[in-house]
Amino acid sequence: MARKTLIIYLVSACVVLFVAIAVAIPFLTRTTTLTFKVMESVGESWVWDFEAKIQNKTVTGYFQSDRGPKTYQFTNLKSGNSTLTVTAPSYRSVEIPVQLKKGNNTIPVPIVMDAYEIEGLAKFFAFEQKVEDGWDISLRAATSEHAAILYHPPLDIRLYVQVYSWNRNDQSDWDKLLAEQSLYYGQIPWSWDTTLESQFRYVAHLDYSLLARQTVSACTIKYLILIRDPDKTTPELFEDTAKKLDSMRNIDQALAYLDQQAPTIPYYTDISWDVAK
Amino acid sequence: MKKNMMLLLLMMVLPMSLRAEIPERIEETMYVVVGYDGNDYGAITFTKEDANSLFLLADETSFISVKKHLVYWWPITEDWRVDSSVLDINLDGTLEITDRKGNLQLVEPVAYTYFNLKGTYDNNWQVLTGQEALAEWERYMTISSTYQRKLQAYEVLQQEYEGKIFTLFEQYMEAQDMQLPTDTIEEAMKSLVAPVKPIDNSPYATAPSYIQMGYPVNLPQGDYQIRFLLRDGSVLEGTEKILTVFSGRRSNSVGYTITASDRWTQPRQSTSPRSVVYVDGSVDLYLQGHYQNEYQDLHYNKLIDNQSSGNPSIYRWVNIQQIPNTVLEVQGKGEVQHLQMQQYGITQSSSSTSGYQIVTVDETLNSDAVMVQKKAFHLPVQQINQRTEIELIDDSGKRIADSRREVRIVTGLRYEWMAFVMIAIPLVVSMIVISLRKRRLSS
Repeated sequence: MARKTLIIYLVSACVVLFVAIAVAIPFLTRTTTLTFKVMESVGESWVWDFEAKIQNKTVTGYFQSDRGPKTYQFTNLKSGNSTLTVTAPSYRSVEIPVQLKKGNNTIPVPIVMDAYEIEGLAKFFAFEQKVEDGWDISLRAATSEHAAILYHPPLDIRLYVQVYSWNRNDQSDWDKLLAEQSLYYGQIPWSWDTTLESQFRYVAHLDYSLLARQTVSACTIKYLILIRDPDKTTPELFEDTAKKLDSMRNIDQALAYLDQQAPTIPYYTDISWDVAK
Repeated sequence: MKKNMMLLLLMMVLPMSLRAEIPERIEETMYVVVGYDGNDYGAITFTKEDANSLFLLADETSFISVKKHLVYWWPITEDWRVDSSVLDINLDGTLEITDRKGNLQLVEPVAYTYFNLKGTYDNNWQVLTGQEALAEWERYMTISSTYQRKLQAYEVLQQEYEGKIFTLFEQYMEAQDMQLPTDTIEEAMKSLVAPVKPIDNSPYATAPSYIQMGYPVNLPQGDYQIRFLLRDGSVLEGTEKILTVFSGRRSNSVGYTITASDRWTQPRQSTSPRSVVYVDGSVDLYLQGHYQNEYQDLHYNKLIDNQSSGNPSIYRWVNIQQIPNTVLEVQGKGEVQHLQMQQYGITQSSSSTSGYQIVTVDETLNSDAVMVQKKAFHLPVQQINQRTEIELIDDSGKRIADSRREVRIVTGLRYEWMAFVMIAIPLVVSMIVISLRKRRLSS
């Protein structure tokens, strides 16, 4: 009887041991991984040419996906304390200490990167496309040689326009931009176009309804673009300056204010003559 | 009726609300493989991030590059596709390959090109790297632009010629209308010489591929670990994979491509030396002997397309190269014949029975008008007996191993009445048994 009980105990113990080993093997041999997302702070979209590094492994990223930031993963890491470093041209680096446990590790919130410059920026060119109710405007960053700067990060900007009525038979002439012909002055909202195919990503829309007169056949549009340099301008100062400019009557006044009162805020101007309405 | 009309209207309106689903493109790190598939550099495939292995042929130079592209799922063909139009990043670094013994091989990128030279047979593939590749590309560009210039000059001359012909023709018609002598015009027409179209003397059957940067890999058979190191020495995530380098289980066996004259574009294969070629004996055959290698189905499918599947326990023959400089020995009932290889092709036929006719391509024939050309042995139907044996013999008179095949004509049943008898026997027996039983019961 005692022998029989002993056998039952032994068999039961063997079964328990076998099950424990079967469960423990995949648990103990699982690899350590780290998943994370990366996005930029202005448009919450992709960061061009970023490199994320941890334990001598690198992940690179460009467009990520059509539907926003992609989840990246490091595999075969060693568990323990490590630092994840994310760098990208024209963005501030990010260092995140992580404690890696065996198995899957996740950084719960996306790593947000702040851009600090558009490298080589010397000018913005504005291009208008007539649509049903206004103009779609794209702003193209360019170098001093007028070469387009592609894949630059989005810096926070403010876009002001002044629209003049224009006689289509006239030649481009600054003296003909008379104050009484001004149809609109003010700030217009912009957005960052994250579509992968887009070449130029600062886009805005100027609605015809903003114009003082609707009967004009063509306009000339002056542009003023303020850029926030994160090293020199705080978000508060940038916002206050924008509010001041909102209260002015034309771009010339705004430019005079910027030169005298806000020299730390870089700005760019452009003009488009004879824009058909 | 009204109900049916409503249903029909609903069926017509509902599809209007349907939109095509646009696939989402996702960025991935991938190996792009330009692999030699035994025939040519047709094994151009890529590895998805979640693929754990890539496949190459042993002892052949293939090229790997490490790229960032967008991929998307294409539901129609149920596979992942690459979109390189928006994102095409070629990553720079070192390819690290480690064999099972731990031997490490570091591969640096080189400029490369591959091309197929014109020759007697289809495959004369060449691969060049570095300065040689650049020089070959320059050579190709020079040859190509020279030919283009000649062609342009020819087209100018041709237009001039056609213009002159047209003018003279008008003058001729005018003179005829006015009943004037046309001798001088006819003389002038006869004296005009049409320009000769320049011949494309390019040595390439397939032009050199544009110069690309890639990592040349030429390894013996085996499994390797592969990963990509960036210039700072770090490992690029998503590049640690198994590289399976495989070779054929059997190499340089002989197979035949058999084209029946009534199925010119649908040839059959005879891969096994023990196999019999069955024909119906009604049409001529055109035979091409070729070397063939036998590869594992899974490995070869993965070489061609890394996403494909295959059966690891079966093998398949792959046509490698037509066997050069051979004659075909045909042995029927006693007599032995030796057939020479010739170039054949098809031309459009005006006959109502067949859409094409098979022609022998020679110097007298304008080869531009001849389609689907193949260099083959022509075995006329008259020379095919009930059992005919064929075998290839090389130019030194040696019989080529594994090239013997038996060609058999499949005939219809000779004693069809026997089949009817066999079917009728049980019926007759049943009838007899039934009638006997009836008789017994009635008595």
